[in-house]
Amino acid sequence: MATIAVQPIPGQMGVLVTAAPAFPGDHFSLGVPECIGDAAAPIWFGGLVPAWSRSGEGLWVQRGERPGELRYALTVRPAEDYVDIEIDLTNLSPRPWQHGMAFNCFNCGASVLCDHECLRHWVGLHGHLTRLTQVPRVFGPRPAIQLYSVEGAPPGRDIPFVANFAATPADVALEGWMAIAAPDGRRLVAAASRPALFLFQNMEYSCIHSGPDFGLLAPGATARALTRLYFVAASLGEWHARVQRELGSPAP
Amino acid sequence: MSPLSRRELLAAAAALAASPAGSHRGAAGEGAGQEGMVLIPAGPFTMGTAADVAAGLAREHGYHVSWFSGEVPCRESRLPAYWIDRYPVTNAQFHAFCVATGHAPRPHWHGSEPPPGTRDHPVVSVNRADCLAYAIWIGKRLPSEAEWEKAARGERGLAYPWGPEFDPQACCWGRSPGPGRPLTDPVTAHPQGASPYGVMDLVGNAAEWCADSPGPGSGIIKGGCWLTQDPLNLRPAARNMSGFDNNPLDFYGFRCAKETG
Repeated sequence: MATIAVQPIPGQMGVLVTAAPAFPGDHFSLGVPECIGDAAAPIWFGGLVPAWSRSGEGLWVQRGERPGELRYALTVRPAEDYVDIEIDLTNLSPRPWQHGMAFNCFNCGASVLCDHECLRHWVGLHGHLTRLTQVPRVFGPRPAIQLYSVEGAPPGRDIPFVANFAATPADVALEGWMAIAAPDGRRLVAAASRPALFLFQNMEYSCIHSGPDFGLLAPGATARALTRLYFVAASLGEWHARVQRELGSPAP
Repeated sequence: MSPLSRRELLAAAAALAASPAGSHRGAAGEGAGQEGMVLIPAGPFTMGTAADVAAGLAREHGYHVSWFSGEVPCRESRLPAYWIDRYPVTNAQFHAFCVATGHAPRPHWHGSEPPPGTRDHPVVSVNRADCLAYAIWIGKRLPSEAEWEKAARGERGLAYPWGPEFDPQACCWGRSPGPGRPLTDPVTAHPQGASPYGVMDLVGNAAEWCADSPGPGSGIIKGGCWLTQDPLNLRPAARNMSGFDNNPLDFYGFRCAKETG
């Protein structure tokens, strides 16, 4: 079976998925990373100019650095029905980071999966597959967006990046993934991280994010985290069993 | 093209604004000098949704009630009289603006021209700056969210512009995206969608930028659009959508408003 085809965007913190076997003719844009660094003061998309290079068959590596703040190497590893985004993040600042983080955007707005109303968005809540529209929501300063705390991670209110959006329902913790089912119900895309720090979705773009957690990063320290983006031909239940095997449930 | 004076530009714009396709149309409620606009009288109106109604909608349609929190509570508001465009700004009108001012054509247009057969469709792929530039050029402004909602729901706060129940024929909705083709309808395609004041095409087709900013760098978007799949999100009271000011998405359009004085 063919692997997913990806195309880095030169000079940008982004990748195009130009072909995914489960979604013929569709394409997706990935803002990887849309934001990265200290969860209290991350660097946003466009805040630095990364360099892309090839690394082995089908792998691409994005390297970015802001002297005195951070350095990262982001490897894009496409497989048959998923793309791994593996990031090594180094704290170059003189301050400890309570949470190193990345904000990896999976934009489905141009595909058949496009769902600006979250009618086909799914999450894991208390061990159950749950429609996102049945999960509490907070009407924040930008009504189209919402963030969620993740099981095994600190509450969103304790993570400055998450808290700053003022759009995270209290007392709700989801599994570290979010999925969008295709209208035919036989395919889906999903974003999952190991470990996951928070979830995000934006109705404006029909995008989903699973933010990976690099944990406490002392000055000079490096940590690795993974975001896996799925493009699968499977039912939601089949896929959920698989993701629990592959990435642990809810956090390894 | 020879440069035009501001007066000539405004005159041309007023003529174009008189009808979606560029021909003059008179209508009840339109006043001298405000062709193509509808006068919304001063006075109270019902805005938002009552908590018990929101709870009922949530139960009936399988939502958590918090998804309606932005539109709760229902409250009586009051506005001075104002004018609002009878129809959304069309491709023809926006094209005239681009020709007159050098403003950039929309990204999906065929060069400087709207796609064939879409001159009377709402212009889409506009960000807030595009809308504001057009409004200033034509001597108007964007409506506030309250003005938009009153124009859509009338004084008594109808659930939909045409009445209390959803009518699938009354607007353009439920379509799926395709490559390079916003699936809008002509702004006159659904006359049964008229609001109590005779304002047209408020829900579905193009979602509409309002003047209000829910937070820095963003604007309130009202009315749902051609992509909207759930009629609940076509209710004028719904407040789930906001747009980044810089985003010219292919379901964002707008109409203009103006003071009466």
